[in-house]
Amino acid sequence: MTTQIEALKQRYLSHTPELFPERALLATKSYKKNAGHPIVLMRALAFKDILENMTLFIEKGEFFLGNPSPHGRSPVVCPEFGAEWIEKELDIFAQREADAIAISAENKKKLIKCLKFWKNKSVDSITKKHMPGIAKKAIAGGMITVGGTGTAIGNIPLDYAKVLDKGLNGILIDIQQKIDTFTAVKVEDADKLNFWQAAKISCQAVIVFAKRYSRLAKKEAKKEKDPGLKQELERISDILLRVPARPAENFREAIQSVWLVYVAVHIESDPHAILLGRFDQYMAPFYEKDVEQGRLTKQTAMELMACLWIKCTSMIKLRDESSSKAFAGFPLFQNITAGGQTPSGEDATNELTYLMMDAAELVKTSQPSIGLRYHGKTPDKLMLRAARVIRTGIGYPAIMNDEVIIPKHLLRGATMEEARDYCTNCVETDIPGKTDSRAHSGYVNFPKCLLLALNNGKDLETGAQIGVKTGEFNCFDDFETLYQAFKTQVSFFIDTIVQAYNIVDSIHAQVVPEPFLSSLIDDCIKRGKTRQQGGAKYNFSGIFGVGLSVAVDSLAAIRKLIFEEKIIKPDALMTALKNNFNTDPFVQKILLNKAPKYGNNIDSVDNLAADFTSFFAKDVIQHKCIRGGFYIPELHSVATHVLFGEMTGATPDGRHAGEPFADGLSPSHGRDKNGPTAAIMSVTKIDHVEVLQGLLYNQKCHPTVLESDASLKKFAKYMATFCDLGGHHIQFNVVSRQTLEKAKKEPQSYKDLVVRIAGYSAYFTELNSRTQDEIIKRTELRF
Amino acid sequence: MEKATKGLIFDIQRYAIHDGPGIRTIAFLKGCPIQCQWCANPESQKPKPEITFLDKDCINCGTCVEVCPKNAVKLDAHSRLIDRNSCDLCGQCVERCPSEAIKMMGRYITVKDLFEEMATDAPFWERSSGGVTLSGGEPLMQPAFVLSFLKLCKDNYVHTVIETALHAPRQIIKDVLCKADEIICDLKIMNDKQHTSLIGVSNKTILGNLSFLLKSGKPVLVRMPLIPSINNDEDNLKAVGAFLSAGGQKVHMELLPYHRMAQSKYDRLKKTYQMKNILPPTQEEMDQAIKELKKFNITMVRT
Repeated sequence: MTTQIEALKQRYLSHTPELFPERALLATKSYKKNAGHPIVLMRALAFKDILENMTLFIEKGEFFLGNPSPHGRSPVVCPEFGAEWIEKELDIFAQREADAIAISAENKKKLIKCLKFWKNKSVDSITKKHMPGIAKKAIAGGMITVGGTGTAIGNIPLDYAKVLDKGLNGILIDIQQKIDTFTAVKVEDADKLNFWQAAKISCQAVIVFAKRYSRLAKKEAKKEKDPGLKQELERISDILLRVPARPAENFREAIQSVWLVYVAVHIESDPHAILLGRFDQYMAPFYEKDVEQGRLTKQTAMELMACLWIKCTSMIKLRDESSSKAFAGFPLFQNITAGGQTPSGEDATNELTYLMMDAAELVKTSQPSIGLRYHGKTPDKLMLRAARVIRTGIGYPAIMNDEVIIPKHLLRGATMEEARDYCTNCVETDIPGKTDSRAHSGYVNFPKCLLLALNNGKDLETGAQIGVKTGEFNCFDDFETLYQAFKTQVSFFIDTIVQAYNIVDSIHAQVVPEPFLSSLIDDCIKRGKTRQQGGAKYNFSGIFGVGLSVAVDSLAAIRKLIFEEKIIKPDALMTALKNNFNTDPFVQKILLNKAPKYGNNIDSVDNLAADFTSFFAKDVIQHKCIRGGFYIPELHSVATHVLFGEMTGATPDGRHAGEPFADGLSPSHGRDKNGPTAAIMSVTKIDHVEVLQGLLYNQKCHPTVLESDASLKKFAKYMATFCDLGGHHIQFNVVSRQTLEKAKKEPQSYKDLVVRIAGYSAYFTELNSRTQDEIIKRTELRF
Repeated sequence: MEKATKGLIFDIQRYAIHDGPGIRTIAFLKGCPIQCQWCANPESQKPKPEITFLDKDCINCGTCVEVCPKNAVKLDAHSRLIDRNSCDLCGQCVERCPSEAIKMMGRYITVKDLFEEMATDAPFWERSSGGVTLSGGEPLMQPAFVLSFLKLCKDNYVHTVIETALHAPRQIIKDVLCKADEIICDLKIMNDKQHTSLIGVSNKTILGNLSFLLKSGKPVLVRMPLIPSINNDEDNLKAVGAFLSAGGQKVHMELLPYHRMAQSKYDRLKKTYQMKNILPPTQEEMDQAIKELKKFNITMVRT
């Protein structure tokens, strides 16, 4: 690694995560000053006040500037979203098991004082007040989670191409034109004028923000002794006088422009997964022009991109304790897309696609993870390059399959050109700059739905009636009746999520509109609506199904052992489940070993997985969003498979109470014994197109699988076959069990160990011990 | 009748990447005419199914004792024994054991069933120009089954590889082995006396078959397990080099470092692992041997 990049990485990532209240204090002051304005204007004015007054810093040796906080590895604190929970958990931040974060006594005092103002005003306190009782019960019972209750909502790809093409000045012209030509026709039309005014204030504020950085760079340049660094700072200062206000003229300006806009969005609110989109596509014209004119070398471009990786990883997110476990590792789920097709259907691979691989391999940081779009014309060379990066063990690129994903976007309403231009969003995918797809609107716990179906809707542990009364298990005549009861429970909890999330969605629109982010999503400006009001061209909300393999293996065991072979009596099963198999290891072993398990290419159980997934997918899409659009299904758990696992008793697949589920659509840990190809055959029996948002499939493999060049070539073909078979997404965790066990014992020596957990990468040593164990346990496939 | 139409296999392995071109599916055939002390698949040696007991998985439920029609299973808290004389391999204990502590090593399968079971991997073969590999044990101990399997593969345009130790009559080499698309064969020790004492048979047949194969023009990869103090001495390496280069053809060879990962299998079969004191070769020992062999007209490969 070049010493400059190495040093930059060390400087940024050596910071201990620490909380600074500056943004919270500035926002509070601004809100007090501007009380009485329409909310969207108050938000814009607060954004402006923060950008004009926050502490800026430059990390020595960086190529472009912009940080959302006064230090690296310091999360943005947004009391507009979370005030109650932050106040409540302030004392445990530094001590908690997952994602511990320091805060000084003085800063704590300041923060507590400012949080008082937000009582009954923040999203978390308002959603708490309005959350339906039925949803509260379901959340407490570990049946569902509901997203956006105390944090901003991300998973949104901005229109970077527009910023690069016309600059914020160009967007300001568009806004002004709307204001100048507007005629109100409806009572609520003043909302539109308010939004345009707010968008204008916000875009102007970001331009001022850039100028502040420009001045700082100039000041630092004066002080700098090293002539190389001095020149670099002067250059950066010049660039920041031009972008993002004006269109970018070259690669350096383009990457600075994208980055500053990206950072600003993270200051306006505290979303995760603000996506970097199709970087190799929107940056290509600048790269090609610069290289042609001799202004830029491949090496420099790659180092600039390496800087992007480092700066992304230095940004972290503050979560409440429960979410910090579910989403351990502070991830912001930054995702960047490589490869794929052009809007006209040609292969889009270019030199930048390869440079993205080089940069990621060089710095080996956890963020942003690359989603590599694969299709029939993807060059073998690119797949081999990807395999080499996977071999390093950083957990990405993930392979995303165009042949499955493009049809999904057509079904979601996009044009063919738009569909071919999709970008990756963790395992989700969206049309960049046009979509507000609200991943993480809610998660539903499939295995616990089955336990409710076995107990007439009552929680086996507490006896509380949290589900639908679907009848007593020992009165079910056949498997089909039980299966129906299970589906009824799942359907009920989908309804519950929708009911709760639509309220959350509406609260966000009324309390925390985002005028700046909305300026970067079509058709917000055209329609005069924030994205919270439904300004985006395409609107969705995602419902995630969790624990598919546990539910399906359990169903298959009940069908075979209780209904077909009658080896176990319903009462005996219920007793065994209640006792967590402690009194009856025999029943557990039978459930484990005498029934087919998903992941071994056995039709009887795989078809059950396919059938149930199809039911789930069809049920979800019948629900409408309040922004327009509809709910879309997803089989992905991020890390809720650990959280839900903890909240779910023993299951009829032989799993003990409290054990984690498998993630996404992966087979259960250690149950896929028939080799990796059989596991893929199982997983792809599910119709991945019908699941309109993402599906996650995670395989862990030992580094030896990728040792020689010959084996790398085979691995590249293996990934391609997964796509041939109709898989949506696959990613690989290449580490040895010994490495992981050692890393758990000696975290100090493994700080740079990046591990893939369910759709995102994190530093292994920052995970809690339970998540670490879960990763270690994950089937080490016999490749 | 059963033996004529069915083969005896003990495992199918998927995503094999070291045993022929592309991504392969391997069937391991059971039964071997030679007994190497370092054998990594001791369960492959006996040409009959075997019942094995894995003590640590047993939950002492007593089901096996109950169901055995021959009263061959003895079970108490400390030891689990199957009287191999009275056991007739009916398999009822295996079927009923809830914890998979008792396992049957080896099952009879028809050519068609084996092909179908392996061909679930066909999409991977097609993408990667892979196919099937027959290994063992010694596939050539079941020549009729192998021949008919190869024919079925050929009818379905599936690429075939056979891994063999070459201890078989020449007629079988000609009529069966040569029907495979590629051959991977073993070469261990050149000194016949030492060969006989460590492996139990003379190496005359093996070397004769190997010369024949090298001349036949079939694609052949010669593999040698490198075992410190057994076959990595300079004399043996020189003799190997001289033998392989004698015919003047370009020979492809791969050295496999000896490993001890089979020890737990020996425990499970209640067999003694005789190589406990021999360590895997160091990288220097591997490099040294490769250097030695490269002095001859041999292409050293690494799969």
